[in-house]
Amino acid sequence: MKKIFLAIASLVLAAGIGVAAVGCATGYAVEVSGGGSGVGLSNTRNGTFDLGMASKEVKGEDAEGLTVYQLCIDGIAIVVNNENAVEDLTTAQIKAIYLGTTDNWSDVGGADASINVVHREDGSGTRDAFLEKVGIDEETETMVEGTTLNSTNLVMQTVSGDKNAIGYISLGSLDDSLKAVKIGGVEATKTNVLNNTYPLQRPFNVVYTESRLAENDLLQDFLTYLKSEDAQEIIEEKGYISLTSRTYPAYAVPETKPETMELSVGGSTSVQPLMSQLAYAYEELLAA
Amino acid sequence: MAKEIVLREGEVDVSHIVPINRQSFADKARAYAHKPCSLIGFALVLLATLITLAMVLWILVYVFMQGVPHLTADIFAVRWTPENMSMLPSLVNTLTIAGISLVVAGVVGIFAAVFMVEYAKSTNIFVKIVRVAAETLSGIPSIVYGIFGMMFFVELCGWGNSLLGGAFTMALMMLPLIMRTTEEALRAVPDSFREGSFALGAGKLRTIFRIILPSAMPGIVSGIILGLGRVVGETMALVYTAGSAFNVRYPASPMNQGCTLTVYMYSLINEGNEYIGQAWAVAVVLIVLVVLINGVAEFIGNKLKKEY
Amino acid sequence: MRQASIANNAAEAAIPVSRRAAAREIGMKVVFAVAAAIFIAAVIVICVYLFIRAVPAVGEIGVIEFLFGGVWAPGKGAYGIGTLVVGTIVATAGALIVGVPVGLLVAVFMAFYCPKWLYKICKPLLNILAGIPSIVYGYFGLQVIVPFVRDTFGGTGFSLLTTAFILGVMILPTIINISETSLRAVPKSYYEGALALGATKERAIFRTMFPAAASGIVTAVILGLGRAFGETAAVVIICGNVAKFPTSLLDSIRTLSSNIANELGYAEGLHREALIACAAVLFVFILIITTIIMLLRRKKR
Repeated sequence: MKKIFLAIASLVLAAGIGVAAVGCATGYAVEVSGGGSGVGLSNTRNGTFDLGMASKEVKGEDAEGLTVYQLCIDGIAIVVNNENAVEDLTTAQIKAIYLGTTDNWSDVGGADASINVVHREDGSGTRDAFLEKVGIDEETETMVEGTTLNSTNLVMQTVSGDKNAIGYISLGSLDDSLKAVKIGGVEATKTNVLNNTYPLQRPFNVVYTESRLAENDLLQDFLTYLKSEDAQEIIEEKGYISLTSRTYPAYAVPETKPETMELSVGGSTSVQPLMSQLAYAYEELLAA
Repeated sequence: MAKEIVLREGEVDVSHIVPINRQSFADKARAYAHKPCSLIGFALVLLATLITLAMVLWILVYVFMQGVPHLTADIFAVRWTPENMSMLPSLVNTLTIAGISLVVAGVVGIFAAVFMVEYAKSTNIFVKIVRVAAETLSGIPSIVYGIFGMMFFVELCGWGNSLLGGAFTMALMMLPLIMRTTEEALRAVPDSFREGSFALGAGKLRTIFRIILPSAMPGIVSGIILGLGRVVGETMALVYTAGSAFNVRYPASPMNQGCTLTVYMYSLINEGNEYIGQAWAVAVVLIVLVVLINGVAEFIGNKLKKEY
Repeated sequence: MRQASIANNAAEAAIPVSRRAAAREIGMKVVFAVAAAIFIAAVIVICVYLFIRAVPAVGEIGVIEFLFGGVWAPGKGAYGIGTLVVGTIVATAGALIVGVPVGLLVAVFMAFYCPKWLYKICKPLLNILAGIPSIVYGYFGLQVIVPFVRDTFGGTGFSLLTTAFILGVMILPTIINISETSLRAVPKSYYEGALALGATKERAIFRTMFPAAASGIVTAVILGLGRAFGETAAVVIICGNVAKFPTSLLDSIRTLSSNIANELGYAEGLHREALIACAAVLFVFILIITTIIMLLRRKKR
């Protein structure tokens, strides 16, 4: 019996090692974690991440010790369930809903039902950007208590399942399962974000420390990639908005490949899906 | 009864007495009519059992129905890509962490159990304190272990998010379980084994390593495999120690971060609508793993019972 | 074991051993003792670590403000865990209300009513229930129970009701297993005696076996309580994470553990220390529960 047990155990171990070896042999690794914009900033500062992602403006205290590069622009869409009759809200109405002064859909043109407010968590860049653009000061005003969820996609799932819910998500993540309301008559589209008629927008920033940049040549090359046309193509494809004021060079894989094999990226969950795609495309380019 | 019963002296004819565990249905019905509370009690017991069984089957069937359609070859691809969302790397990570933590916890737990059973008198104050410590350790919630692991291995030791940190945290969690099962297995070894061994001239150490531990092996192994089941199912303690990178890959060394199967499922859940199917598929794999592990543990544990 | 000690002493005394072997014996004894001491060290280190960070934080926030403050809003500098403690308590209480009656009844079934063939099916099923990872429970709750509660009872679905239900199902196996073991451990003579005196089966069970197994059952309940108390992965997904005192079953809540899980990733400075203090509070609660269990066990002897 013991022999059989040992045989099975060694088989499993061998299989594991074999799979791992195959997997390991591939090389460059750009790991993209989440955690929120707050984590992105603090962990880049303390060195846990090589590159941080933030879905809001990084200035003042937040920017201490960090160099910021704006990757692209993203709109914030206010989303309601597809069955909700409301099509249009003003910033003032949204503010009133989130402060709790308006708590029934009938007050803003919908059915008679109480509004289920959905928040993002405290460290979310989307939340910070939303509050800033809508004009709610957290220090002085109390928002209505609503379901607090940890990521854009969870908000989407909740709002698409609850016909009385309202939430805010990244515009790039918007899909058919939800409806984005117009803000003061302006629809939430890329063009409207670019020409500044749609007010709810925020930058996607990446942050890094100069010291880490000097040490990690993979980071240097990845940043070159992010600043290139190839990256912008992916950004546009995913529904985010390139800064048209810049010109982007094409990316070429460097002659001598970077020495460092690992790159650790983390932060905003709004930027995370985009960054995962970019990381994957980058790895493919390097491995080729 | 057609047979004639021959009574010897002093015996009583008991053939007409109906023993209580052979009540006919009519008898039972009469008893319930007299004491309706008993009927309610019986009904409640049945109801509770039916509800529980229904719950178990509902959960299992639902998870399998949702997850099995997504168990494609893609989701077991060797390399992770955003298209195939393969769970194989995270599965390997789970097994790696489990392997390391069980080796560590196994050694420490078995040695500690050996001490508690073979060397110390049970009235010793040290033994009592160790027992209290083990009880406390087993009650601590997993998130507290996660915070501790984060503060200790990730920050203090400076390892960052690492598989090793995760494995050591899990080892801490497994220690009480392994020590308890090993103690039971060791106590189940008859004293005659020990006495015989001493009588033959073997020292304490040799007795332990040559006679007692091998005899207790099935129980010890069963305990370790149960611990394996717990490691496989753990999330929170690993999110903060081994990391939760979304694009999972095979770590080049144990000092790299690695997303385990459960943490991968947690990340998928946080992705909401996009990856519902994949999340269910991971749930199916998790349940299958746990069932397999528990089955093996029980099989080996039963062998222990058979031999004595 | 007494005989073993005698044999041990005899062995150590009578058998002539070389000095190296003797040194090895003592050496290994130390190794084994160290292994046992690791348990103590682990508890002490965890304790020290938690409190070293938690106590200054609580000092800075103020003990009364921290423990009883009703607002948890790190953005504003409010770190009161009152709502969290209440949330944890009601979630645990709800889990017990769901889990204990059903669990005890099922334990009674398994110990007294279950035919052998059914037992062979039920026991593995219960073990599977015990083994399902908590995150699968949480996901099941999110995808199945939350919409159900939302559509049937109103509210957002992320509610105390959902949390209590899922937690109750999670602690069922613990309660059933331990209660069944204690019920089986009661001598059969109690049961037979009651039957002989004319009681029905149910009366015999509930009036004689239950009280006899009382300490084991109480241990089972308390262990279930401990498990529900610290449960995180399932709760953080389904409870709604709203830090306010729940006024109805359909209100969202936030527990101590889900609070930590939600915010630990991005907390900085005093916020992070406050979360560690939350973990310390959890630790203290568990210490109290463990002590109660041990006192109960001592009383049994």
